[in-house]
Amino acid sequence: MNNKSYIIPFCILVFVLVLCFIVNISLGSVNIPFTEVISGLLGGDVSKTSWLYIIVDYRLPKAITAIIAGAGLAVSGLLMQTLFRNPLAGPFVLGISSGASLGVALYILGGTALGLSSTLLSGKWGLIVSASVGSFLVLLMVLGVATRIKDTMALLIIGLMVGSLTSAVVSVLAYFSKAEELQRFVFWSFGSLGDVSWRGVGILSICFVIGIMGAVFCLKSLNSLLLGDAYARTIGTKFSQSRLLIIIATSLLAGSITAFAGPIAFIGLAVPHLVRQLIPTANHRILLPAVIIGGAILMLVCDTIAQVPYSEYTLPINAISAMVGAPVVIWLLVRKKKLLF
Amino acid sequence: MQAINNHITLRTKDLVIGYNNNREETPIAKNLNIDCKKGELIALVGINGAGKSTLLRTLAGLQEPLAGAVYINDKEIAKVTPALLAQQLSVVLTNQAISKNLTVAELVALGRQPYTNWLGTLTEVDKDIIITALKRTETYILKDKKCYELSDGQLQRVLIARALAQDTPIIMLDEPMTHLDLHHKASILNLLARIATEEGKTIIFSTHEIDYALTRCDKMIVMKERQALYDTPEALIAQGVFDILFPSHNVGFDRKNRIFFLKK
Repeated sequence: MNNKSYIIPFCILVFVLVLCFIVNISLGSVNIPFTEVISGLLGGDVSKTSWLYIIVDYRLPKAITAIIAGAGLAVSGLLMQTLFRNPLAGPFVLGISSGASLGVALYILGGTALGLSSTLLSGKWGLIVSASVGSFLVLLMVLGVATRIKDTMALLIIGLMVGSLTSAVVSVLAYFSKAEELQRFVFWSFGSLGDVSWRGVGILSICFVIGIMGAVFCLKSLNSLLLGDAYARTIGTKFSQSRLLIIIATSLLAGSITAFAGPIAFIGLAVPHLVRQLIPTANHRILLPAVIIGGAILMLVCDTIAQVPYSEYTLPINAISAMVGAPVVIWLLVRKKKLLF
Repeated sequence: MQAINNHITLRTKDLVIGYNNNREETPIAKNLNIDCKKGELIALVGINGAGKSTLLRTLAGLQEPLAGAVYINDKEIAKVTPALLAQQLSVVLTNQAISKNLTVAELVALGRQPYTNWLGTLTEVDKDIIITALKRTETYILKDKKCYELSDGQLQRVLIARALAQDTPIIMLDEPMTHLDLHHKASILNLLARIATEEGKTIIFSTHEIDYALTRCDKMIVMKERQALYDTPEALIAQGVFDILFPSHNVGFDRKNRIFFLKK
């Protein structure tokens, strides 16, 4: 009931976010002095033009993408954990990433396997469009089922089945495709935050803002869902309507992020749990902003590690997020002995 | 005063309850005509599978009747919006997958949802009502505890506090005394009786504790063989309803002492 006691954790979260943002931009494969980075960010003079280019056109959009991706996936995870009342639910339980994978697999691998030409759209945008179409089609299917089925748990199982189905199709496509195509697909599935242009960041931001607005409109019904479907109905929640809005918001957030940055696992599952440890409440009005900041922080940290500062390597973000997140969740489970939604 | 006390808050007309699977109707009980008055404590009893939960769910608007209708203050509940219905009727359900991560205060505060704005902001009035509900159920000292820290009896009280916070003329409870020891059963039943008489609420609860219900309730709904008998405990005893409620070779009923006994 008392919201005042959460001011301190929020201050800490915001401070850590700013810190992570600055560290993320300061570090990379090229060693740029810290003062030059700050100067470049604030629009001042930078002694080398190549440095300015790296900061403004590579590191800055990458950092913003990391913030949006982290925050969006974490919010999706929170929404799904509450909707399904399952602490293991994440942004992709409805098959959104599987849909995107299938779209990209058809785009990259379909050329050989199905004899289609993938020259319609080339390069990055081809990947983005095919991932979007793939996840959108899966979403339509899930929504179609959701309007017919009353049982929310059945929906969860259907999402998992759709995931299995699409990965099976992807396997068949992969079996018939050339080595270099397969490699391209595998690289996409690693996830990447660095390939998003300023234009991409713009589109991603719009999807993010709409998705978060959807989540804000659901806040009251999300809290009512903590009591279970039946209780939620008896305190005036328009259940089907709220469920639909929650699914659409999740799909928009997770779908757009997957389209631009690939399927980034784990953040969506882990962040809501981490945030609940820091801020022990179930109230979504407090959890939602905390999860947004927490997701952004974790993603920035993962990206900073994935960059392997001062080296020319960039590790797959998808692997790093699991490497960082999994031990934390295991540690929490061992310490707390229970993981609640 | 007499006029207010006789006010009928909940009534059913030729209600048929049951399930509708693949357009095949499975009625559980038929021709239910019940009228509940303000301030009455009503027990809903019957053997397992007689349809107690189905009747409660139907009365609460969680399940559609196969025929007939449920009226609250002469309005058919099927034609009332969920938000308005939530201001008339609150429920306490058992075995719901509620988030145990909620604190007691947060859980009780959810009872105010029918009255709060689109963000669920609690006003000072809401907060007062929540505190009153917590104190009424003697759960105020638990308010900052998480639900997973509570015992079954405490959780049941907290769920009743939530229903009180919803501030409705009618409260329905699905087996509020299961899994509780004798002391806690008695304390819940006494609490319900106090709420009914002191606050003039209509309280309907399903239970297997027929002995206790007989001593404390104003009315009883007895479900048996697709019928529901509705009357005062005295009248139902006189009609011999309880003598044949259970198969007679196992359980008998002592009319004088109003208790069931086991047969050898």
